[in-house]
Amino acid sequence: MREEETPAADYRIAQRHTLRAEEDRVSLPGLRALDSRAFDIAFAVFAPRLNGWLLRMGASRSVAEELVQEAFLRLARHAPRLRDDTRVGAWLYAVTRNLWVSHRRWCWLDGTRLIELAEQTFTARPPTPAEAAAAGETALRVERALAALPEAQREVFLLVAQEGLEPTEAAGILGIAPEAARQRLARARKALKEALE
Amino acid sequence: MSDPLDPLDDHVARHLGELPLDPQAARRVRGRLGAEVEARRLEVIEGALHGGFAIAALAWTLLVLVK
Repeated sequence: MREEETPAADYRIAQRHTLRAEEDRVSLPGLRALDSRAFDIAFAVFAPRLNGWLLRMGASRSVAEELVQEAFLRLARHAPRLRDDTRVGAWLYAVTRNLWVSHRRWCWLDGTRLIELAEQTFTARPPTPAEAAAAGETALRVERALAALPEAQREVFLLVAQEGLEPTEAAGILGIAPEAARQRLARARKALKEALE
Repeated sequence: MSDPLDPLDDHVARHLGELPLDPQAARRVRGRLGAEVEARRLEVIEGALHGGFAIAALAWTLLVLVK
């Protein structure tokens, strides 16, 4: 693994505050009052993150767009009932993740999608949108290593490493026990370490 | 208590680029969201008006009955 100029701990602190800092930019009273400016800010802040997360989870660009849209429409429908202690970013991630799980389930039930999946399995895998967008060799290696992780490990790892969430917070979003999130995270880190060494 | 930090997370996070919606898709979704927010706001106003009318009608009925 290549050494970086920025001390890891400092960077980690910045990352740890990223999602919370972004959440602070969004006005919860504005969302509850259905103020369109508050929704514009929420969209600008969270749409790219949710889209990136979905693409890295294996969604196509069109599916990611559809699910991001649905997550924000649900936010608009649910906004007047948001509680004072709601973390909008975490709420959106939980909704998006549920939508993604439902979409995957639906794919398995749809025969034509099964044929598509079989074709993808038995032919060479095309680069994912994240791999295609990777800037430089290291970024490409990281994206490939991430894409090779089992989904259950990848989703926890992305929430913790990229969004700076605690494993317990990630567990809340994913609807799993904190201990399960920690185990998946440990396995993901081990696999990534091996892949990137 | 927070979980121990792992330098690997930093290494990976630093190399993950942003993957935003393409501009056309973002415009589409924003437009749809704007329409939904507006529809919800109208619903809330309508609900409040209906509530107001119902209270006024009830008050008027009571007034007539008392008289």
